[in-house]
Amino acid sequence: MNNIKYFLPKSLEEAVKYLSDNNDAKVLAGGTDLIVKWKKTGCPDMHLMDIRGINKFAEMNDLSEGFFIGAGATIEQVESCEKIKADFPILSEAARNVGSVQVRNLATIGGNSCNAAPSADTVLPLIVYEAEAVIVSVSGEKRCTLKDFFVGPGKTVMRPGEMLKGFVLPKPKPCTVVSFAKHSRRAGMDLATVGVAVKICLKKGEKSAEEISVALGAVGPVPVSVKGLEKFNGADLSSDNVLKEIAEFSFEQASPITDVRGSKDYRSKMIVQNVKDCICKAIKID
Amino acid sequence: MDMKTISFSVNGKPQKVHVRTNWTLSSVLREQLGLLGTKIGCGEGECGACSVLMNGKTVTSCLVLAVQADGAEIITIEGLENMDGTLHPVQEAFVEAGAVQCGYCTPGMVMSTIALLEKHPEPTEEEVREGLTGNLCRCTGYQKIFEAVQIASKKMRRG
Ligand SMILES: Cc1cc2nc3c(=O)[nH]c(=O)nc-3n(C[C@H](O)[C@H](O)[C@H](O)COP(=O)(O)OP(=O)(O)OC[C@H]3O[C@@H](n4cnc5c(N)ncnc54)[C@H](O)[C@@H]3O)c2cc1C
Repeated sequence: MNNIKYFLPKSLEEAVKYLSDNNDAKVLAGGTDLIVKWKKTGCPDMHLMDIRGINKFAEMNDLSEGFFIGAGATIEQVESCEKIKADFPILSEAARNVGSVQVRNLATIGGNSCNAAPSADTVLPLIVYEAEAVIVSVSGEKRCTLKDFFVGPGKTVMRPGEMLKGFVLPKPKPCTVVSFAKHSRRAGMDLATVGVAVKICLKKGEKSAEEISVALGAVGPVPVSVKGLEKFNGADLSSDNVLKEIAEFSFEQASPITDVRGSKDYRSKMIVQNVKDCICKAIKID
Repeated sequence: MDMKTISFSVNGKPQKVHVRTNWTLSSVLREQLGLLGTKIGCGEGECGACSVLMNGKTVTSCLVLAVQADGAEIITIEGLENMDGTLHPVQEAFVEAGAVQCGYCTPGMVMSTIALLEKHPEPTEEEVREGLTGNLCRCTGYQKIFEAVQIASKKMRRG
């Protein structure tokens, strides 16, 4: 008992072949979720495939259709990448909010999504930036928009034999403004009680939106990508009433519960408040 | 029971150890190599007592399987003092500031301070607090530790 079968593939090809031949094998990336869970459940037998030996997994580079971030890039690498700071600033900000220095040095951006916790910080910016998850298996690659990637707590659309290779983020339109909020009990080393990411494409020279995206974290079994926000296209975002309507419309799609981090009632109020604050911050209204 | 031989450098010395695949780096450092300076606190990455430098970056060694350290360069608190036995400036600063009470968190705090000063040689108070988020101290109230970081920063800049 308490054994770990450990395999360290050297290439992506070797990794997908191994996963296809060993359906019980789990991907080990930074281990900051997996090893903690393993310890909390009494260190049961595990079969692990460690992807940290594959440099290709940690690559970040420009593609014709956007920016690619390898699933194995650490949260620290994402946080400090100049390109991400410039083009996807709230992804960098969310990464900076994950755990501690030590956790960010180990944890990967892919693990943050694959663990499928509703509170995962980097997922919200990835959703509003319209990231696509690149899933690989022996049969090849396929894509899934990140907003459709999560099917339940700890569950993703990935099937046995499949793994996450990375994310493709389309370059945001020039009119884009963004903001992120992690509302938590303390400033450091805490999971979100409520997380919000907002992306707005502003009409030139105006405070009205051509397009609004809102993602909510820690307020349901999976991260929430708010649907139907097109109805606010063209609305004047400097109006308090409009802000309130968008925030309440977003809240309707959340299903917050009471847990150690906050009551249902508190979470509900914080969703509305943080969505309003995020929009104001994005469009720079005090 | 699966075993594996790993080769890695610990405090500048090459080491070859036969480990069980379910052992963590923290337990191998302590139990196989006798480096008891690295403490095990929560075992879940929250408290930072087991922080070591792995390839130049601080990690909580309780969350790293020993097999994952194969080929890595590890520095523990024992690897900081100079050849002549004098303390590293960060260690000296902790002594001078009285930043130690029970001492259990100290090795982890020192390792995190080294990483923090490498990134921010002249850290602001916020950068100090941020850099030490992953290290819990239940005795000092942190103030003396923050003072030690500033003393260490001055010492290291003086060279
Ligand atoms: C002390 C501490 C504080 C934390 N604080 C935060 C926080 O503030 N915010 C936050 O969001 N998270 C936090 N976390 C959780 C965790 O660090 C993140 O979710 C992290 O990004 C997980 O990545 P990992 O590489 O460590 O994943 P792992 O633990 O290696 O893997 C997690 C899961 O994803 C699967 N997986 C990983 N990579 C792949 C892949 N490429 N393909 C398929 N499956 C894969 C694994 O099989 C496993 O099921 C914290 C964790 C700790 C220990």
